[in-house]
Amino acid sequence: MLISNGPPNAQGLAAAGILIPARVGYPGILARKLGPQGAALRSAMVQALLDTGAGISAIDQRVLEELGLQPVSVVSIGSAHGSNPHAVYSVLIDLLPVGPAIPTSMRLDPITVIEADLSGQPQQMLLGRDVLSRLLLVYNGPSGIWNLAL
Amino acid sequence: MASIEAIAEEYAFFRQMLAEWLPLYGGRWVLIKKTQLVGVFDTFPDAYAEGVERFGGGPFLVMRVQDQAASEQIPALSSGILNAHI
Repeated sequence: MLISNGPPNAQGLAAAGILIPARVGYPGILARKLGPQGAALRSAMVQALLDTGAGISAIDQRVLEELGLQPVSVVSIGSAHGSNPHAVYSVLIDLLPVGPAIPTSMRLDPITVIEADLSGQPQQMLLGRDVLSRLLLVYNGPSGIWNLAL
Repeated sequence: MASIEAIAEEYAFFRQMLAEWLPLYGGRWVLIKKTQLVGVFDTFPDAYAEGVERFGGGPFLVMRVQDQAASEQIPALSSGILNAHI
């Protein structure tokens, strides 16, 4: 499976980074457990930014609240000011095609993500190295082209 | 953040028991419901699967038995430069 951007845009890529539309939902194992109730489970559309500097992926807290998922773990996130505990969730992610020429999507089920405050940002999700470790990423800055393959 | 409140009881129990569990279960994953240790597992997926089987959507807590110093970094988010431009 392959996802890539649309027309080459070096300036746009440098400005915004790799942004991928994605659908966030309940992990399959949980949806199956919930049975008929699973048919009514919510999902949310987000813009996901690839962040090779992030050790773990993150989703905006408002999206997680909208889904109605419960946290399943806690992890400490370090910063210059110390560390803080963050709730961890298990979710399903569908990375959706960006360019119309590539009509495929990638499913990651499940992945663990931390809850983060991404208010005021153009993206509602950060895809970190925990996700990237499953994928092949090619980033051509001068040409403004990227490819992501599973 | 407020959502940790949903598993506050489980998390407090984990922190209380960590010193005792480190020599017994160090490196493995524990599944906790309220103040009960439900099981010990080799991987997060195994512990999570058992949690879903027993408790559905939760809440329940899955934690790795290890020193709880900061274990992850998201520098761009922490430093506020996620979409910074000159």
